[in-house]
Amino acid sequence: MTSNRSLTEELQSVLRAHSLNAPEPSGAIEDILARTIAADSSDEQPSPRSRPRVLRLLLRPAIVGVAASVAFVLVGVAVVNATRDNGSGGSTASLSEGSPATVQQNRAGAADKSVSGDSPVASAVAECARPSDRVSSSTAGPLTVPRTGARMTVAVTTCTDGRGVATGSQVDVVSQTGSLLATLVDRARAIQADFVIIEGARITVRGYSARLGGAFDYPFTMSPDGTVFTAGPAQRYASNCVADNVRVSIKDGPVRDRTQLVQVVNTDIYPCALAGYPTVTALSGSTTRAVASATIAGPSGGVSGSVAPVVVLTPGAVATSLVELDSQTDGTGVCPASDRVRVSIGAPPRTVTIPLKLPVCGLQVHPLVPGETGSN
Amino acid sequence: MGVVGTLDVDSDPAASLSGRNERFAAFVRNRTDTLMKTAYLLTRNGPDAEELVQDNLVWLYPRWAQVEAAEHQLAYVRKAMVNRFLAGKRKMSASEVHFDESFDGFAEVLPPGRDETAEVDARDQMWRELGVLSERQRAAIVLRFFHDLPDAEVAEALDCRVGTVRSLISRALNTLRTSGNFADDAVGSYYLRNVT
Repeated sequence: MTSNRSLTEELQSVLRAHSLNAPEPSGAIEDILARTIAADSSDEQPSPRSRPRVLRLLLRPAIVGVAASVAFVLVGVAVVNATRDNGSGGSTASLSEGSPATVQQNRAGAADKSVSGDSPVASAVAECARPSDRVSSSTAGPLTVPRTGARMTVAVTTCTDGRGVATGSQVDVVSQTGSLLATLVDRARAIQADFVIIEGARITVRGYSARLGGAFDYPFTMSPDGTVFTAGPAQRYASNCVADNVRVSIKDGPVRDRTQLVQVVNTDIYPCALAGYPTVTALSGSTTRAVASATIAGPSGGVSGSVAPVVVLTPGAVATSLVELDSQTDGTGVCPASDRVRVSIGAPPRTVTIPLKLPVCGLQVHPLVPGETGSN
Repeated sequence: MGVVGTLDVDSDPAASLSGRNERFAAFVRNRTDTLMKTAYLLTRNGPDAEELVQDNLVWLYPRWAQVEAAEHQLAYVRKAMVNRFLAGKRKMSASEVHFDESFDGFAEVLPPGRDETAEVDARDQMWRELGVLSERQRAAIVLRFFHDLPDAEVAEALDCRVGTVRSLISRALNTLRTSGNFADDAVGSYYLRNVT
């Protein structure tokens, strides 16, 4: 291709276009001011508590490190108001013997549960930022206090943007009666909790953050009397999938002439993580026929829950996204044809354009899921 | 006695600190956006860009008097950030692509009749080529062609001579021109003449 633009014009255009992919500054501004002015003016007094019976564990993910691990800044510990459930609290945290049994439950999105006033965790379910946000909630446990034998539950609430893309999860420890005891991960941290592992007094929250660059294990240790939860250093177990180590392609979907599958293969020797939707555009010449609308599921498949899953691709593993062609015509009985499909994944995007003749009245694209079917 | 610094002995230290904090906060609120864009073009991914911007401003906070004494505060902060990036404190992959659920593609405004797909693919190619450049080359390119700084100011930001900047840019452009066929232009030719 010979461009009408000069090299430097094209370069400036590329730089300007990609600079728009820079993160929104609001989160960084908040963090900078918290680490400077607020820290300077702090008199070490705890901030006002939104829930007066609980000192909340404020999980402060430190800035992502240079290697494949992340340090966490622990700015507090959760002290349980144990007068109701666990006796008096306040001891220093230490790793207890706990139960040798391992409980691994609560893969987010796989077992959505409606939130109602009758739910034992209803009082602990975090509220999403907007009423229109969809909520997924689930629980893991029991979490047994070594010293007293009292049972607790870990409740996970995930808010989405309405398209099934998680905007953040809140992970709470609640009593059997539904009382909130501690918050391990705050929803404002924009970490999507994937699932929770409970091993005796250890709780590990596996979470994904596009902002922080991958999937992480966030470990916590409960004190023997169940009154203090101490965060350990987070460990990154998969970085975000990157342009140079994934291959993107399109193939026929499960319903002939009605579906296509966007396929992403990890070609690297390390696992990588991703979540969300690809951008799919049907083209005819230079004309855009349709841009696929992002929907969690459609008639031919998609995601069964309400949250786009976190996909961790081991080397050679495949993730797929189902694309559905709408059959509804524009009234003429004829859908305009496209001759190419462009797929972009990530930001900045990994873009491929593939010759593909399709009758396009409309397109839906569903989230990336593990495996080759586009559905989970 | 020569003046080696200024000390406002009449001012209330608390009020002075408060005023400095207000100015720092104003700078952070007003300039983080543009710093984030620069950091993103340097680091090529969002998380590292955020970290670079945050670490740089947190590091500068106790030194804010020096920033305020500078003729051009944004240039001072940007220079500190670029140096921080080049100092190797950031070990980031230049080729990382981060999935961003909110990404809906570029808003492309192209004249009718042009092959937008081919152009987007070519832009992706150039973006990838930018990732191949050395960090110093990329920093020089970002400062020169994104911020439109003259060579002398790029040299000031990179703490090197103007000739070094021209060499960095010419080598970078020589790499980038492999990403497509481009029309001739005076600026590109000026630098490419210096390819060694």
